[in-house]
Amino acid sequence: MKQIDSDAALMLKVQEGNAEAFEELMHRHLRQLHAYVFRLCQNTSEAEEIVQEAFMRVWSRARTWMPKRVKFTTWLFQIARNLCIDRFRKQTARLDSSIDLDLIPDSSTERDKELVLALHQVVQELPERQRTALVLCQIEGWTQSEVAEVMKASVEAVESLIARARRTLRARLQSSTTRN
Amino acid sequence: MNHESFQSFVDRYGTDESYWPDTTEGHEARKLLEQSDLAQRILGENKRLFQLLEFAMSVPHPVGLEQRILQRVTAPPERSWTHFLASWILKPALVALPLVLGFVLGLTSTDSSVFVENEITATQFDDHSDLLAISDE
Repeated sequence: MKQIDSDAALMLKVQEGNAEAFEELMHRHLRQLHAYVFRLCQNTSEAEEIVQEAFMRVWSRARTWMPKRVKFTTWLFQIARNLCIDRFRKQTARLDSSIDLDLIPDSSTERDKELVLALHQVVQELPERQRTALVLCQIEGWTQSEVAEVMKASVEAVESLIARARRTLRARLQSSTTRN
Repeated sequence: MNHESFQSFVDRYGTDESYWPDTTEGHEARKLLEQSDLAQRILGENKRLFQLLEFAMSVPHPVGLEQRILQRVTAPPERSWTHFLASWILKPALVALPLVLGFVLGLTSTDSSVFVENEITATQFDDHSDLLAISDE
């Protein structure tokens, strides 16, 4: 039976220039990283470029990763988040996403579809830190302490960011419901 | 715990009860949820909201991205003529430039110092006996 290497074991091989180990690591984490980046920047081509750049950095800067200091996934998501922030600062990231309404179950009502569209809009307007915390915690199911590590913040700060994001979502939806 | 603080608790810890902390506040939230219809409705509405949020944040499939990254990683480094020019001519030239400048400056400054030294030597060996003779008179 083939032994499954941990991320850390694979990274040690990547540090020695092993491309197969890199491929395996990428295969494991690409989809989740892409989902996270896309949800942050809401732009298909930007998200792909950022993910590509993040993995290229994993390859070229593998030796800077220290297994005792930080988990591989935390390091990877930190790289991707920094790349996203750089793009936001340069204002090169442009929101172009549209929502695929086919993904909503057929059983959903028209009202639900309207709410999904409204939510999509509200999430894009959240500040970057709130969006990161919300995406990782609410959508990806990370614990608050894992999110705190990626964001280099305290658990209390993450808790507060998520609470504010959830409150904003509810408030904005309520106001849009009342308006309609 | 009242319903307002229950909503605030759900905002902080989410709708999944398994993530709720094992603290006094967590116990109070669980207790209120067992006893209150309104608390159950609040939790239900929040669950529905965040279920819709997942649809609102749906992600397209990144077609061919994995292959593109692998190609870049395994591709041999580019060896264009500009690369050759930069690595074999420009970089050595930049390294040698301070040396050459130092050499040229050294040559010019040697000339002036020889001139000064000659002046000093000439002054030292001047014959001042005539001046002494005048003062004796």
